[in-house]
Amino acid sequence: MPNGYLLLVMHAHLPFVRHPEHHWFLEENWLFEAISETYLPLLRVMERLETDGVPFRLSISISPTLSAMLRDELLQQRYLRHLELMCELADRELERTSDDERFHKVARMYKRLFAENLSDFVEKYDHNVLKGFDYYSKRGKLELLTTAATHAYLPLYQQYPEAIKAQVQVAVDQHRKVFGKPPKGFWLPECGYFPGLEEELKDQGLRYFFSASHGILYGYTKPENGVYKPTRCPNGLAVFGRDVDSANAVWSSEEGYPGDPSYRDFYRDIGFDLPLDYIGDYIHEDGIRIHTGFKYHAITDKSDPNKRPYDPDEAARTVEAHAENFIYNQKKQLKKLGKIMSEPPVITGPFDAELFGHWWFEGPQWIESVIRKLHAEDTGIEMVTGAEYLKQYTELQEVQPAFSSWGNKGYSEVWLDSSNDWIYRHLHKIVERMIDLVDRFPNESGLKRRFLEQAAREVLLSQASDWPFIMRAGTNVTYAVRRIKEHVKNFTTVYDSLSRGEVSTEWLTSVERRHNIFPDIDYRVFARNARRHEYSSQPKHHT
Amino acid sequence: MRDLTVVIAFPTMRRNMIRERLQELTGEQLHRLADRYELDSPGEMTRDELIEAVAEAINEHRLEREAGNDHPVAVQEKKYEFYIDAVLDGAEARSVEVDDWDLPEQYNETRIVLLLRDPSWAYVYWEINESYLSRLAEDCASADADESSEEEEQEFGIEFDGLALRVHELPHPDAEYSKALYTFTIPVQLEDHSWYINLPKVGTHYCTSIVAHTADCVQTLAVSNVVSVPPGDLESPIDENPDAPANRVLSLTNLDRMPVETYSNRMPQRLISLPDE
Repeated sequence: MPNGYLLLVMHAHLPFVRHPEHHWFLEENWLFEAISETYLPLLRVMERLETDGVPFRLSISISPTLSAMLRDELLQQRYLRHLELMCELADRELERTSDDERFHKVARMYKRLFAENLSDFVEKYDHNVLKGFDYYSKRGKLELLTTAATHAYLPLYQQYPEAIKAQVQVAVDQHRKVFGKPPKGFWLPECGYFPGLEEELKDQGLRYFFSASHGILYGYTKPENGVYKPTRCPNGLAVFGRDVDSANAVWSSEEGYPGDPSYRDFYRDIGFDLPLDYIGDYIHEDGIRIHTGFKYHAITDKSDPNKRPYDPDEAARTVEAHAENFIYNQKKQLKKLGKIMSEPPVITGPFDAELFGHWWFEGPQWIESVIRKLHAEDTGIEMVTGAEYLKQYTELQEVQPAFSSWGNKGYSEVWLDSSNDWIYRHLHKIVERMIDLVDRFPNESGLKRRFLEQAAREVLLSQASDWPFIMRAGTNVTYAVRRIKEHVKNFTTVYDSLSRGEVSTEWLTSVERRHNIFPDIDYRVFARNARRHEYSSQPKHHT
Repeated sequence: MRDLTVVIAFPTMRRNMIRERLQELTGEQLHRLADRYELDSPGEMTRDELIEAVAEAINEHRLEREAGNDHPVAVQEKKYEFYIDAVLDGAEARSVEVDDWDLPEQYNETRIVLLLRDPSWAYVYWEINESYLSRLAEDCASADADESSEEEEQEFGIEFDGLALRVHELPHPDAEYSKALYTFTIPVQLEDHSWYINLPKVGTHYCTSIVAHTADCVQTLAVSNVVSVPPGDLESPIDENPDAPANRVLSLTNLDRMPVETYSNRMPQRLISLPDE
């Protein structure tokens, strides 16, 4: 029996952004950056580990919106175009930096990175990187989880059990369709939990979810093992609470590993640094400067205005030291916990997948190094997935978790503040109207059914947590507002058309082509249900 | 190497690029940004001064927001921030139209919805059917001219023009608002449609109602859903029994490094009561 377990969970998500009506669309770059810097590098980590016979267990939640985009032929073609452009830029960068070995070394790294990306994307994964994740899942090394269908921040829809059910059921259905089997674990978007949510998860056959630390620690019963052993909700669903210390070490750019001066700086990018006559072909066609992914500087000391050139070898040495430090700290913590707990503790580290590679460039290397060291050294730490742990340890303390999220101060203020609160009166209204449509048209087929299905898609797409998040962040606000308006408008068009009995197939076909997510959706997923009462009676007081 | 790199710190570079972009904006757009960032007397500034002030305000706003970000929020922001212009586009955001279509201002109904933001604050939005609202406005106009408005001022402590939010603490989530343990009132204006409510207690349940106060009576127009406020803290303090295994585990959890606000029950605020209906 090990001294303890390490459960590393990465949550991969991007909102559904796909614009066939434009030949080039800026926000589609969110996906391209994530594939290039996070998803493909993570798959290469797993490949190297497997080749070297290093056992590992990882968990990845892939949001249904992301998986839909990764499987979409149009976006695959556009990513390929983007990659080819980046490979061309890498060649030009080799030439531009040829006189300065410090920068040339980094340019060679990018040449290798984009060449590997191109080769893996085209040859290994046949344009669909989900195939890579599926492969490691089938090998038992990776547990694939799902999350809400369009990543709605669920606590702000709790008065509509129909909306919660739709977000969960559509997600589970899509996961089953894409990966051939239902998920056991669920990632709550933004770790947003409210008492009663577990009922919908259980109905869809899910067995566990992850929670913010205080969702458990500030729960309605004191957890005997803190967040170091999962608890179970009154309905039996297991909950893994987020560990505080390991989270800070990996997340924080101030006190954690990613802020080390030797690591690559996120902000300095040739998309901003170089003259337009050189970089113009690789940024937005209107001359808007964007990140290209070619960054040549190390983080350096914050007090130093002149950033040092990035040295990949120096960064690799730091990665090793940080992996060592991480394992040392976990060992120390597990040893202390082992003296109190009767079973081996589990340290749960949930992270945004895009933290690794996109934000913390060396993140995938760090994961690889941690896994290799766990295997090579006698650490007493075993990697585990949620489902594996729950198979082995079945006796869990019952704790009713409390409303919580991993957002600022632990609750909903990121998704509900003066910048974005105005959206909810509209988003709630279209949920009510969607429920009303199912009441009025309970068993439609043909054209009318297509309208109802599109209405359901528009409701779901409007609920993405990304839109209020972006409004609060104050960047790309126009796009987020446009999306909210577009989905409400499309829904309202269907609602009004069905009410009047007039439908335009031309309009419908055009919207179906653009918002083609969840092609098999059953609009009756929004059927009125009686869970309202169950939600409201959930919370139990502290004694 | 062709020396194309401009070696300056990113924050400086970013500010410079924002200035460059501001230079391209019209005076009207600049003033809209100035309004958004609540600059003092933008009308008295020269164009250059205005650009400088807006650029500085954008930067300060960003720094302030980023300082309050938890790690997951900070990292997620990086997913969406990939071009400088994105910082500026918020000024135009609310006026964006989709094919000349804008969100409805009203849904022609009367309802009120309560959303819990954290253990201390809730957000409530409401709508009152337009025709009813017109009648109400007329009633209020005549009530204002009436002597009873003086009594209303005494009851509410401030001048009142006809509408109020009532916040009801409930004994359990299924209780009727009429069985509230405690109710307090927030006067609102006819043109208000939403409000942030400072909740007095944690570990309890609240609902809200919107009421019309006419010359003759207090009439409840709509009642919201119920929200349950979480405890916002440990079920019991660690130092109450530090040797208990659960508390020994908790003491290893580094709770003080958990980026979460803790709450405890406080004295209620805004204690203004309405007469019984």
